[in-house]
Amino acid sequence: MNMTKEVIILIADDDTGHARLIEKNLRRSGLNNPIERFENGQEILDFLFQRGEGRHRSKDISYLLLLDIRMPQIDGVEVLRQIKADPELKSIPVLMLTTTDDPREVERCHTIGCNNYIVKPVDYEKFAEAITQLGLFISLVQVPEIHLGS
Amino acid sequence: MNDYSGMSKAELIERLQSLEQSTTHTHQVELRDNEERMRAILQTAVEGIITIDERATVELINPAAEKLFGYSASEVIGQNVSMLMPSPYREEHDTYMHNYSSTGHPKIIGIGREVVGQRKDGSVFPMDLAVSEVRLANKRLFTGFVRDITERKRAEAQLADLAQTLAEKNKELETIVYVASHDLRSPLVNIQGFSKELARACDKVRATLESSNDPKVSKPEIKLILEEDVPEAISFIQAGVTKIDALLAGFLRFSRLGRAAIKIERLDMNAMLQSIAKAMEFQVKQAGATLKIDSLPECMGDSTQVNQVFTNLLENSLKYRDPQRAGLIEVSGQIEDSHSVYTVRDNGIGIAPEHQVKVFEIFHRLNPNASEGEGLGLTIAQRILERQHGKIWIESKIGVGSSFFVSLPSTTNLRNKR
Repeated sequence: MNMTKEVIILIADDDTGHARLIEKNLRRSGLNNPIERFENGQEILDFLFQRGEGRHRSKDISYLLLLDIRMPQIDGVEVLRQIKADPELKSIPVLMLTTTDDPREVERCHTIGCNNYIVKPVDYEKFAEAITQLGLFISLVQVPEIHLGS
Repeated sequence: MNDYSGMSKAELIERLQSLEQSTTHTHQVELRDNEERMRAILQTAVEGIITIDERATVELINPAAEKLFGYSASEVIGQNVSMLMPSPYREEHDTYMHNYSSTGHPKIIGIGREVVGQRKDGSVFPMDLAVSEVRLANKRLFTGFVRDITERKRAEAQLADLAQTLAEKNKELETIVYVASHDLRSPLVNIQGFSKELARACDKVRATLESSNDPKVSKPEIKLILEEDVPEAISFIQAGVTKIDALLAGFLRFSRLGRAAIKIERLDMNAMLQSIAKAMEFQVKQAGATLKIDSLPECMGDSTQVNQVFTNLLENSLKYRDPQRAGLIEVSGQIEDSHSVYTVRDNGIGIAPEHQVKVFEIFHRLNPNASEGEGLGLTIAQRILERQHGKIWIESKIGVGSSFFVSLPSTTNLRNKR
């Protein structure tokens, strides 16, 4: 019945624990979209730009990217810059994740063109809340035919 | 009362002469007195005082100025004052004098400024110079007051150096605070998050147990929670605690460095590298690598800390080997100017240009999963060398290998100083 493909949520975060917590809370907020995790900037770039031997994206699937800023080697800001510089990829919604609320960093990401910016709070309730809001945000950018929580 | 009427002509003349002499005498005594006072002032003045005429010929130089320039008065008096100046001021001085007498525009008179003086031995020194002009009935005199400001200049330079160091330290501190805010919070997010997950799992177990009177029914769900959710949460919590502990230990090690007493001595680098190689023999063998050590020059440094730097560099070379080829690590050294420069060259994976600065950043790790370590080795190496007037830098090419350069003051440098 549902002909539209679901949005796949990509999580690029070098911290496995953070990625798991995000996933668990997204599920708890009622989101059932497939989630794929990437451990560093290079992995997600290879996936998006269809390079290397690992996973590659498909042309007919919509993606949404949750991108951690501080990753070794290629960091989130650089990944964001490359995505926004690519005519095809720049339409992918990107949400930045970070443990800092350094205003300079926030501004830098907004200048490059991230869609949203989420600080991972140490306070778990706030974290869960932020992710729940993120779930709502994702449900809004999805195509309307998709049933949530089914 | 003198009665001159009874005096003979001869007596009168004699009397007159004696009167004349006594006035001249008083006048002469006064003059001499004045002159002696002036001389005493000139002789004892701390400042150098030099008087020249309109043609820049020295008329007077006081002992302080003699001492300052290393000339005796007889060598200077009657000479052009420009002999006390280095080129190009020496050549320009006549023009200044000429310009002033023709235009009346002073360059220095009545103002005072910092200039450079030249001693008899040819050495130069910074000095403060104030010049005043005296117009006498038949000529003009210029008096220069000079003071050696070498010490002041040195203090000023030291202060500027200190300000520079402080600015660098400040920047380093900012980096550390920035990194701390990221890296220390990361594991905290996990500890908090998974503790909550754990609590939630417990709630679920409790609820499941309460909702059914038959323990058999709830077993699979409880089993899932106990076998997956709970152990996962516990493992992340423990990993988080371990990570924070390692980061704090790293901070402590780093901060201790700044306080550790260092003993600078002559270091036999051949002996040091041989002993490091011996200690690492097993690691090198296990890695299937070859370690070559050239003949190395001596240097000045703290034995323990310099050993730590080279151990770290060799460990890094072993850690970041290229699996495509057998590891080769070469240590060489040479004297360049006042420093001994050592090179630790490997044929490992290499570091991309954009990451080369970052390798010295605190807690920065290029491949966190590839090997152990807290990302502190090169930060500490840099810190150690800075404190010993040394330096560390890198040249690297991806897929070819890295060269780390360490420079420390050479022993010849020290000998010259003494």
